[in-house]
Amino acid sequence: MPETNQDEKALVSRAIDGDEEAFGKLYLLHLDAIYRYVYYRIGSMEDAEDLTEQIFLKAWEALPGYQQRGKPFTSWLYRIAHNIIVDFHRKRKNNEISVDKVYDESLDDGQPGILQKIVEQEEAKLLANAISQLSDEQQQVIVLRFVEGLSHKEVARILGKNEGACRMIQYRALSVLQQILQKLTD
Amino acid sequence: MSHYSKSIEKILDYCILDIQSGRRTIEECLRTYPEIRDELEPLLYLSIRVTEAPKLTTAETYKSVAKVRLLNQIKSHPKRKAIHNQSNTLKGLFPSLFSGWGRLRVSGLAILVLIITFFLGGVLTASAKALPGEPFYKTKIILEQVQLSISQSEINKSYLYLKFASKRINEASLMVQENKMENLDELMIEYSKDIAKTLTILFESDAITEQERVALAAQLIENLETNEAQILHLLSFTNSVDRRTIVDALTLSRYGHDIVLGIVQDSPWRKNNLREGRSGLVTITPNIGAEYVPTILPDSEIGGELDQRVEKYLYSRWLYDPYVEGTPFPMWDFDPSEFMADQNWPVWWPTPVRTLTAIPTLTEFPPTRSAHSDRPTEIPTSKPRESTRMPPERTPRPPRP
Repeated sequence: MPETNQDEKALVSRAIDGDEEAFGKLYLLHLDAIYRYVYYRIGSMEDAEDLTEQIFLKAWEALPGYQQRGKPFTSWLYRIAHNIIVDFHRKRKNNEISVDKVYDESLDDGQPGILQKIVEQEEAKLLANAISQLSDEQQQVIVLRFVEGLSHKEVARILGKNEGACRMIQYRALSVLQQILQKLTD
Repeated sequence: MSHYSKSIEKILDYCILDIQSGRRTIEECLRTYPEIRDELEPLLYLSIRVTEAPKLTTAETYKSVAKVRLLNQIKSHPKRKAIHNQSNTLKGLFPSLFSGWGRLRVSGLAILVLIITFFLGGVLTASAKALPGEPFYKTKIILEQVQLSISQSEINKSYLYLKFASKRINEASLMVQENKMENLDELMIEYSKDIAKTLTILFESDAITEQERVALAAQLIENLETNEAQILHLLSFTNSVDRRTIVDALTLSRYGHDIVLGIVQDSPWRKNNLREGRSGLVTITPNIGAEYVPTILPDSEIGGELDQRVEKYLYSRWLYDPYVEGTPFPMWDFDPSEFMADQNWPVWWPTPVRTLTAIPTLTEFPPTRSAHSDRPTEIPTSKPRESTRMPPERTPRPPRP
């Protein structure tokens, strides 16, 4: 795994040149972050897995046109992910969030802390359900700022907005999310 | 809250940052802003809650399986291969052409350009990489206009138009990559205009020789193939709302590619210079445009079964519209050879098309169409069809094996 930005830059360069192994490393490096980003925006683990694969495939297709201009590779991946999610929502015939099976396979591993895992999954499901009802921009800001812990500067870059606009979206998003969560838990 | 110098969104943000970094507690923040405490408190607690949202990770088994699956997919990925291979196709077929193209005559004006270039070196360097909306972009465009205005011949102008068109596509790619969509339409329209100008010179100029025409056609084909791949990438990066002008540019690129291919195929020069066994170019893309095929069909076939097959093929090829949900298949999934094999595609290919060409003028392009049109507006032709048959039924996509 690359430890520095330079390492990642080198991997990206190799992937642009068609090095599949380098792309595989980038994939493992960013898989979880992209998966979480997708999951919290659509609220379904199965769809999140499918879309995550699509995102990386799309990234591979588009890599020859990618130019490293000092910006993180992840920003670019989030951008692809956003477009795929937007299209996913558009194709969806209704806005109902598919309800995941409560327990996934990872809970069935006989390891201690299973109760903790269940609680975590319930919380994740509830939050994902609520977040996925926000507008696209609000979803992006909430997931990137809080779930992924990116700075306003990084979020602004991904959204193509200034930091002030991102703060405003953050405020509105939290306000709406508060109302949605209240409704969901009432 | 009105007496606070900061707006609520800023206060909220400062509090969140302070709490996340451990500089202040929620209670300390709330004490600082008592008048908005009621509004601030739930939002701060919610921000903490979302920050502490379970950091879901994919299972190790999923990771390894998905990685293998992904690598298998990309190993045989046609699009990625196509991009690397496309640019060399014509160079392989026309080596002598490519080696001689870039030699512009050195004239007094060209020397003047060099001098200007020398003095403006710094500006040029900065402007060369400028993107729309950046300070030096206008300089870049002005310099391009200067290059055009001092260009002495039609053929040189056409190469400049081609070069500028490629620049616009590259700029669009960078803009999309940086999520700057505001100038995208403008760039795609400028791209289309430059391609249309090149096509106009190619087909209408009497000031270029036959060999120059064929050479320009070959270069145009290569550029349009590369451009098409880039435009498809742009499409994949934008959602439906931003796609309109991109689809228009794609339509023109394909249209241009197909009709220009006719020049290369029919040229005696090409026949004399093409090495034995290197006829693959003919089969790369059928040289058709939506309104052109009926005129190259034998009269007896107009409205006949063959004509209907052709129309169905064209319909399927040009129909795809990302604005319309439920489009049966995206264009990049469509394999013409699959359809051609299934439908016994006629063997009279290739046919002369040069006499049938009609170049979109600047006022005709991009074509207008309603946002929810089921079929893109067809590019106007100078030889409209006389038959008035009903549009063909939508051709179902052949099942994939």
